[in-house]
Amino acid sequence: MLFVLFYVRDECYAIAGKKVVEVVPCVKMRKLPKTPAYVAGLLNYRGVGVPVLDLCALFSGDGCSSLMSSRILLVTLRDEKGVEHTLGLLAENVTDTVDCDPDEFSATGITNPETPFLGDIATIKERIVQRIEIDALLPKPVRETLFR
Amino acid sequence: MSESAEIIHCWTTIGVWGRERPRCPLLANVIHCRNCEKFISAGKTALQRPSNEAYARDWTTQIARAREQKKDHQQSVVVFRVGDEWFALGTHYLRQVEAKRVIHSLPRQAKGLVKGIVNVAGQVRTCYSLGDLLGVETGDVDHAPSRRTVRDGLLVLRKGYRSYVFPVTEIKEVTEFAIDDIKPVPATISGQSANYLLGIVHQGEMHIGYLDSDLVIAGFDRGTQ
Repeated sequence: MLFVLFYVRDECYAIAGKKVVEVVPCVKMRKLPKTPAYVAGLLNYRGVGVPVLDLCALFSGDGCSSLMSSRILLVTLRDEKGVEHTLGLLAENVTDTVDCDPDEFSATGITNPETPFLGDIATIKERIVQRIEIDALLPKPVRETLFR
Repeated sequence: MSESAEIIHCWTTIGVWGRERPRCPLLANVIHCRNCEKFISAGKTALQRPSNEAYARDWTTQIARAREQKKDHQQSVVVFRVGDEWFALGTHYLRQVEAKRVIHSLPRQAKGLVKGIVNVAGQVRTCYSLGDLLGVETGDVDHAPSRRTVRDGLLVLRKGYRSYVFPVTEIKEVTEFAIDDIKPVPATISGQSANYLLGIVHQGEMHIGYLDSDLVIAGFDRGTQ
């Protein structure tokens, strides 16, 4: 199974490749007032407004650095009714993919109700990589604000 | 993540783009600089530059533009040859095209649908014989070797959690068929292969049998039960 790797600061995370529609450079976005600080803005993606989350801001408080390697992953998010939405995720160091068996990931044993999107971990190329569960990324009230 | 780490351009001196001798000893292993960790990490270092205004602006307009609509009367296929006959399979289940490698035969396995086992990306996979399934003889028609095709490759299909690997004589391309160009199989074609065909596509001199992927996979499954 293919995973797209990215970084938030020094930590490596993985997203299932089949969830990723496209990876694009960090482009200009329209600011969305009165949204949480981790909502980077609204991206005009092929003529459709797509909200973009800054994962660095979501995970650690500070926004992503503006390097060429900071990119936006366009992912498909499925809500509890099964409706699919497109969401942008801005992350650092989006330069690598890895093809590995999903069974290599194992549970961390830590459950934090604040971060339900952090999934299992695996060691890939001597790095500890944690899976991100995209569907759990947005708290329900925020999701309902962004997708209606 | 330093912003301007020094990049050592070893590939332009002792690598494949260089004139210096002796060549880099790593080339013996990696064959080409583009497979080398040093080259790959240098490429990634190049991405650790600050983004600039013009680049962001260019991409903003490029992404805002609507994507060209993919025509829904097109079918994406991989075209390949087994023996003397050309076939096409939908790319839906196609996972990889691999180079030829050793197929380890299994003891006490009579020659048939299962050719043996093969190493694909570190995984042991059953290697099937498509020619055997379709009843295609490996013939002796002389096909002029073309520079643009891959000779003797392995195709890897994946359906659900199962992988199906089979060798083919030549892989031409991954292309698209217009649905209208897929003609019904002539009634005069009989024999095993006709059972697996969805249609025939005529491309110049070539007559390509368009295979039903699900039937082929089901055929492989039957052979291993």
